[in-house]
Amino acid sequence: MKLHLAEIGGEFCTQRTAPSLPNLRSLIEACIEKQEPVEIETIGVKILTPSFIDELIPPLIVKFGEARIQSLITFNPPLTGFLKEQIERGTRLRKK
Amino acid sequence: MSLVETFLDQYLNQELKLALLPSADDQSLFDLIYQLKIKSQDLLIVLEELVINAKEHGDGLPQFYHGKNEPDFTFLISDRGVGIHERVPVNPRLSDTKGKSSSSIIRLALEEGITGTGTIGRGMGLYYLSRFVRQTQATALIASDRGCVIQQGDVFHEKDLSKDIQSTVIVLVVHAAEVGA
Repeated sequence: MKLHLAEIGGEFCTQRTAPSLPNLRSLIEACIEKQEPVEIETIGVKILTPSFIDELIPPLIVKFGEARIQSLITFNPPLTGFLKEQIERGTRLRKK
Repeated sequence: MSLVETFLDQYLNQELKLALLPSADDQSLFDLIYQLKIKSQDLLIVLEELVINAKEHGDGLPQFYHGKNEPDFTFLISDRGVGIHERVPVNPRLSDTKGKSSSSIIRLALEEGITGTGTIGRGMGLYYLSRFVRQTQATALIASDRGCVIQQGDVFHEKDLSKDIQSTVIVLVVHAAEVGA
């Protein structure tokens, strides 16, 4: 499944309290449970923050396991810098 | 007095010569970074996270100033909410903040996973600010209550201010070349 983040979350995916997050998470979870790959396209998103990523991906890793999430979820274009780092950081802090 | 301290001084004395962003919202911040031709995604993220912090913990109306001081850019974010020295000790996971000075608590807040909410994963604004300063050899000043921490690259200086500034002020001075401007 291809998810266009800008269409679901808008141009600014910034706050961890964003109303789009629960919907986005349940769409992804449904795919993961079916072993269906998910491509999250971030083209059109002007600002994406570690706060938003932290609320989206690390909880899925904790729930489904790192290997499963890494093999099924991709970002297009791939996350870089602090956004990429937050996935590892958020997962590690949740496992403490 | 260092450059970041000068900006803090000017802010406190209402003599700041930086431009005030009319509204510290997402679109205005994005437009500013585009207008300044800054290509660093991480800088945009740091500024956005700091604004989110100021909105969440402050009075909801953060002030965002910016200005070019060749060859650098300066950003100043302020809010009049509960200060860092009061927020961080509320975290039930932190047991060793009693008796610590405001500066020491600010310094602690720059570390990973330190937040006033106690919620796992939070506390990103100041952590990523500190990471960014280290990575780009920038300079930041974080002042709250009577405490102040200045970070230059990976060197930290803690200072006590002469009075309670009754606000939280963050000054970030970045090298234009380091942020792709």
